[in-house]
Amino acid sequence: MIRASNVVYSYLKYGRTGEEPVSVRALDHVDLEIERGSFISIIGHNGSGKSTLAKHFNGLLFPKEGTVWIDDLPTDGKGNLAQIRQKVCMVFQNPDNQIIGATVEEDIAFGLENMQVPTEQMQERIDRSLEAVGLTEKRNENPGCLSGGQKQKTAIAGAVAVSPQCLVLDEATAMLDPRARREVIRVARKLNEEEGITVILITHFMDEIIHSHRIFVMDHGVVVQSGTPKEIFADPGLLEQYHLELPPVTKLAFGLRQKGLPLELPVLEPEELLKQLLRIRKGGGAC
Amino acid sequence: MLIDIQHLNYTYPSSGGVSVHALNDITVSFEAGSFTAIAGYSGSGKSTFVRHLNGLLRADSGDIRFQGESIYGKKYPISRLRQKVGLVFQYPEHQLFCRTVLEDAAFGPLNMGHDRETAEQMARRALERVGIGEELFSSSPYELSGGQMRRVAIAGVLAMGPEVLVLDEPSAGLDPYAKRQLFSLLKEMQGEGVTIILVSHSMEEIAEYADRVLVFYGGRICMDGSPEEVFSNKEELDRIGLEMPQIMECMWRIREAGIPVEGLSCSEAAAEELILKAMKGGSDA
Ligand SMILES: Nc1ncnc2c1ncn2[C@@H]1O[C@H](COP(=O)(O)OP(=O)(O)OP(=O)(O)O)[C@@H](O)[C@H]1O
Ligand SMILES: Nc1ncnc2c1ncn2[C@@H]1O[C@H](COP(=O)(O)OP(=O)(O)OP(=O)(O)O)[C@@H](O)[C@H]1O
Ligand SMILES: [Mg+2]
Ligand SMILES: [Mg+2]
Repeated sequence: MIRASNVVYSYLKYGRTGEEPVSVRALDHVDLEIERGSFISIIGHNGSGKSTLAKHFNGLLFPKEGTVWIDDLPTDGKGNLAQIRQKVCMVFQNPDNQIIGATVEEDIAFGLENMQVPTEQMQERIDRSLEAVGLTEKRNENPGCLSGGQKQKTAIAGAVAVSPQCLVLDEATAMLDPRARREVIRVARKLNEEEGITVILITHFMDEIIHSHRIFVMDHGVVVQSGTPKEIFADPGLLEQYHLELPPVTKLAFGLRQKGLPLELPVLEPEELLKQLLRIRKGGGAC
Repeated sequence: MLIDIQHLNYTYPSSGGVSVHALNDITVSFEAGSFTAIAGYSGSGKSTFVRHLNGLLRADSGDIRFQGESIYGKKYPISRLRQKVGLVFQYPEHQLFCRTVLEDAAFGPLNMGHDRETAEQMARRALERVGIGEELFSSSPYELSGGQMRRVAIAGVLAMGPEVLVLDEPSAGLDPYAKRQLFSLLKEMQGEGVTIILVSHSMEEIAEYADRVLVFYGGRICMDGSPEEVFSNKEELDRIGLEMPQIMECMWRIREAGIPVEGLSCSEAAAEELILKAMKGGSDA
């Protein structure tokens, strides 16, 4: 679905007037491949280049060196941009910059019109996506009158309604309460499993990525690691090195194992910890 | 009492739709030097509430007393309140507006009447405290990553040396390391006597750092207590749509499944001990 080969990107920082702009390298020879229909996550410290990379996936930024392909379309800024944006839909970190409608519903409808969704399908898609994020009661509200989390939900509903081939969520859940956060991840997984939509999740919440097919770890503009959640979470030292951490339950299981409980590590979910504890008790040979 | 709030009500003027009674008869007080977290589902009134604390929004009825004096009094100097009660917004973009990071952080101190040199000194120190390095000082705040922007916004408020620091979801968008750094800074400030009030959706961070948690629900405060007290009330949490911290949830599930852990805890070390003890207690063969 998406392939990045040797991608380099630098921003020009202008800063104080009169001074020469400085070039800041945000992506440093990034190679990665995302298969169609997969659910992948990108994690990394603040400023590691996650958003910059994501903006390459729908042609908001173009590589200074190297190439990004969406299917077989290179994002070189030469004419296939509209096609690329039809395929890849992005939800940004700050929803203020992407909400434009006068009401929540209009905002979602606007996105659908842009994607040339037939009018007769629009209402149903709007209803479904509002329901999915739990925003139905605010449908006629002016987006300016929403709370922070409700704005994020509006942006997510807009992207979900479009049902693109690839959905990029760039910290789209950063301001949601735990239940809403879980709900959004559930919706994304459902779109992935049932409709084969490729999902790219960028997040600082480690508990959101435990179901990904693959996790990419970024550090200072470089993809330094990639692997399945079990692989990535097997080594607490590795994550710490990159300013990241284990989910709480994973840490707890590490501690219990160190104190002698024969747990199979890493444990990624409370449910899994419980199962293993019950198994150990049955076996009788705990400590 | 440092801040004393009585029967506060606030309704947003309707935008064509229905008007929202966002704060409903809020009565609560905050002691000097305390560390309080505010939780609650999206739209429960948290941001609306904290925007009242420095007079940014004015209640329809009720009163807020700061150091014994009503901030709604005719002669009350709201501008001085804004210096004493620093508010960091939910969206950092909403409070960054200068050309460079350093100017932005120096804006508050300048505004308080400090000369440029002193103001920049204060700004540098605040930026350093949130982990923004010299190399970003001359960047435009809009040329930063999401997490960097948030740290600059926090520094801008810190630079004014407020007595009360109110932060609306300050850790949203911060990486785990930066989060820990921010919270140890807040703890340090609490040690220096600063009162901390923050909104958070992370039950983990509330459990680890706050002494008290207020839970908002439909514009009211529906729970008020220590994190352990509040989070172990599963029934009420379910009703209002909140979740336990993950560690506590583990313990709760383990107990439900018949492994006799004694009590619930949010702390990893305590959880470890309790689970080990329960597992040693023999199997139910
Ligand atoms: N518009 C811009 N102009 C100049 N530099 C920028 C711009 N946007 C980002 N940068 C810089 O590029 C680097 C990568 O930023 P990016 O936004 O991709 O990070 P990120 O991994 O998404 O971080 P976060 O977790 O904080 O959102 C950072 O050092 C940042 O300061
Ligand atoms: N400017 C506004 N005009 C009208 N209504 C508003 C405005 N801002 C917020 N509201 C409404 O007031 C209620 C409380 O909003 P508030 O922003 O206080 O919620 P919150 O608890 O901070 O939520 P979040 O966790 O999503 O930030 C919400 O139902 C919201 O729709
Ligand atoms: Mg980012
Ligand atoms: Mg809010």
